[in-house]
This record gives sequence, C-alpha cells and structure tokens, in this order.
Amino acid sequence: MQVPIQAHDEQQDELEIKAQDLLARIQAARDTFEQTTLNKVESLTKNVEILKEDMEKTSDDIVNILEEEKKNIEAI
Amino acid sequence: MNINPFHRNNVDTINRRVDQLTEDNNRENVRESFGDKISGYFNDKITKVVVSTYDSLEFKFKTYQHDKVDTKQARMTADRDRDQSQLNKINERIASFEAKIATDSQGKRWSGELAGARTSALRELNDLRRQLETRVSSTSSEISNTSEVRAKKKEELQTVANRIDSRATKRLEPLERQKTRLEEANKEINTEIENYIEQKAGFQTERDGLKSELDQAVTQGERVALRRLLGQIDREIAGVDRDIRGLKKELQPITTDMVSVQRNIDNWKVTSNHFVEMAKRGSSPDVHYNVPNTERVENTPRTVMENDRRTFGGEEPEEDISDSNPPEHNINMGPQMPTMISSAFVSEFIHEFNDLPEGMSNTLSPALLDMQRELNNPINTGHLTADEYKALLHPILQNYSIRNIGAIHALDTLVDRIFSRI
Repeated sequence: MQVPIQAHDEQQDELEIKAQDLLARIQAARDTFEQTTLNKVESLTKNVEILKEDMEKTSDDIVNILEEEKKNIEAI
Repeated sequence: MNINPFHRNNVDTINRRVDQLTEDNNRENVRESFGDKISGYFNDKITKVVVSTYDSLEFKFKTYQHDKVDTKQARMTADRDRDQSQLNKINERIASFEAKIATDSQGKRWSGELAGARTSALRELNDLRRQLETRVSSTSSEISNTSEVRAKKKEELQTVANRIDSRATKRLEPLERQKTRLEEANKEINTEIENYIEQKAGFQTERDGLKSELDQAVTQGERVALRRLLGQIDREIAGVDRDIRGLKKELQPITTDMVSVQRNIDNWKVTSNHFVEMAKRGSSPDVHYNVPNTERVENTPRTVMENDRRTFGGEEPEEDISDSNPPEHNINMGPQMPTMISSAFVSEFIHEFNDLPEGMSNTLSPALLDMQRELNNPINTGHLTADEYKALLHPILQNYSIRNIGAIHALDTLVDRIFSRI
C-alpha cells in the first residue's frame, strides 16, 4: 500500500527527533557518569592507597607495642 | 638398698636430658601451634616479633606456674646435699682420728680425749643437722611466699596480655573507621554502576524500538539518514559498556586492597585475641602448656628400684604413701634418753623393723639399708641417745623422699621402744 508523502515526512521527523533525543540522553548519562562516578572511583583509589599506607603504619605501631610490651613481660 | 653411684649418675644424666628435651619440646610446641595459627597473617618480620612476644609471655606464665617452685626445691635440695656433704666430711675426719688413736700405743690415755672429741664432733653434727632442718623449713616458707609472688606475677602478665589486646584494638579503630568510610564510598559507586547498567538497558530498549520503526520506513533515503543516527546511538551505548567495563576494572584492585586491609585488621584482632586467651589460660591454676609425653625419672633410690623392676620385671610394690603428707615436720628431740651401744641397737632395730605393719615397712624399706649402714658407721658405734639416733635416721628418710609423718613417727616409736626395753 502506498503511504502518502506528507505522512512519510512526519514519520521521518518523529523518528529523527526520537533518535536525536535518545542520543543526547545517552551522551548526557555518560557525561554524568564520567563526572560523578569516575571521579568517585578516582578519589576512592587515592583513599585506598592512603588506607594501605595507614595499614602499614598501624602494623608498625602494633609491632612497636608488642616490642614494648615484650620488654615489660621480660621485666616481670 | 645400695644405689650404685653409676646408676645415680645415669639417672641424673637422663633427667637432665629429659628436662632439656621437655623444655625444647614445650617451646617448639608453643611456637608451632601459635605459629600455625597465625601462619600467613603477616610478613616474616612481623611474624617474628609476634611469635617472640607470645613466646616470652607464655614462657613467663609457665615460669611462674612451675619453674620457680622447681628452682626453689632444687636449691633446697642442693643446700641439703651440701650440708650432708659437710657432715660426711666431719664423719671422715672423726673416723680417721679414731683410727689413728686406736693404733696409738697410748690409746688408753687418749681414749678419754677421743670420747671428748667424739662428743664434740657429735654436737657439731647435731648443730649442723639442726641448721639443715632450719634451712629446709625456711626454704619451705620461701616456697609458700613464692606462691604469692607467682600469683602476683601472673596477674601482671595477664595485665600485659590484655593490654596488648586493648592497645592493638585501639590502634586499629581509626583504621577500621577509615575503611568503613571507603567501603561506603565503594558501595555508592557500585550502586551508581548498577543504575548506569539499568540506564543502558533502557537506552538499548529504546534503540531497538527505533530500529524496528526504521525497518518499517519505505524509502532508502529515509533509512540512510536514520541509520546514521542509529549508528551513533549504538556507538554511545557501546561506550556505556566500555565505561562500565573500565570502571569495574578500576574497582578490582580497590576491592582487592580493601579485602587485604580487612584481612589484615582481622588478623591483628585474632592475633591480639590469642594474647587474651593466653592470659586466661596462664592465670588459671591448672594451666597445661603443651606438656610433651616425656616422663621425668625421679632421682630417688625408690624410683631407681621401680625403674629396675619395670626393666627387669618383679613384683609390684604397695602404694607409696610417703608423699601424702607435707614435707614439714619437726624432729621431736623429747626428753633425754639413756644411751646404748649401736651394735645392740642395730640388731634390735632390725627386729623391730620386721615387726612393723606391712604398709609402714614397705614405706620405710627403701631407706633400710642406708639406715643400717649409718648405724654401723664407726662414728655411731659408741653411746648415742634415742634423740641422737632419731636425728641420725631422719635425714636418710628425707634422702629417700619419705616425708610421711606417720612413717617418721613409726620410726621414732621404734627407736623409743628399743630404748624402753633395753
């Protein structure tokens, strides 16, 4: 069945608008994701590095505690 | 029963070796068991410090559990042996003096001096024995004091063990808080990823809808223009996939690190808790420290006999009740008794001994030969009082670890009975 030319134009416009809108929303979502989530991951990565360093320091401190208390034990 | 000196030496050697092995084994067991428990927790350097501190604490607990008393007892025994050695030397000097006088042509003139010298020497002997008794009593008292000291020391050790745990826990707290914050951040990111994945699914559905509509479009021109747009959408959606994959890849080492930190925190908690557990065990009165299955050979003639029996067979002796009473006992010097000649005393002694109840006879019998030997010693062949006989025989019982007050009393009664009859 032959579709009228005007109807074709309207359908094409509608599809284009939908496609452009979808494209824009996807790009916006990616931008948002990049600006928020990726930044959060970057920050988390840095903080985990700090946490690991603190873990090392904590272990060193506990080792110092043990060495100190060992002296106390030996003095008893 | 004559105990072969070679046999005694062997027993001493075996005991020293058993003690050494026991000590080594105990330490090794402690290290292995604790080392196994924290195996893989820390690097070698930290593990060394942890195990070393744990060893020190356990060793100290063990020290105040047993060793101090053993040391005291060993010292007391050494003191007593030293005194006994002095007594033996005096005995030898007197015997030598007597032998010299006996061969002297003027023996008769010297005999009075000999009696005086003997009396003097015996007085000295008795003085030394009393000193010995005082010292043993004093050391027993020290052992009692040592118990209080041990209790206090164990309490101090318990305090240190608990303090190790509390200090370690306190030190871990800020780290735990920091880790918790990061865990929450990580959780938030994961939620955003989930949302992003859902968004992507929505985009995909919309895209598929557009594609379906596009397929229904008739003209080639319309299709080309829209297909170009659809291609862009597909590339963006693929970009979303790449974003998610990239992010997950970035999160992977973070997760690994977080797990590692958590494990480290847990390891420290478990480790410090071992110190608390040890404090609980160490302060318990009936603590057991991985005591290996080694049996110390008691360095007493009785045990030597028993060991011989085990080795060569023989009759099982009746139950030894000699240690069922505390070691402290007083030698009752009592009123002065008439003196009697040792040779007569010895025969009466054997006779009376044979008439003892069987249980008592069994208790005293390990010391019988030594008592006979002592009674036959030239220094004791003169006139001794009942109290002097008792003072002579009591240390022999102690040498054989016969401390049963009933047995000592039976021996005293035996002596008194002989004196009352003759």
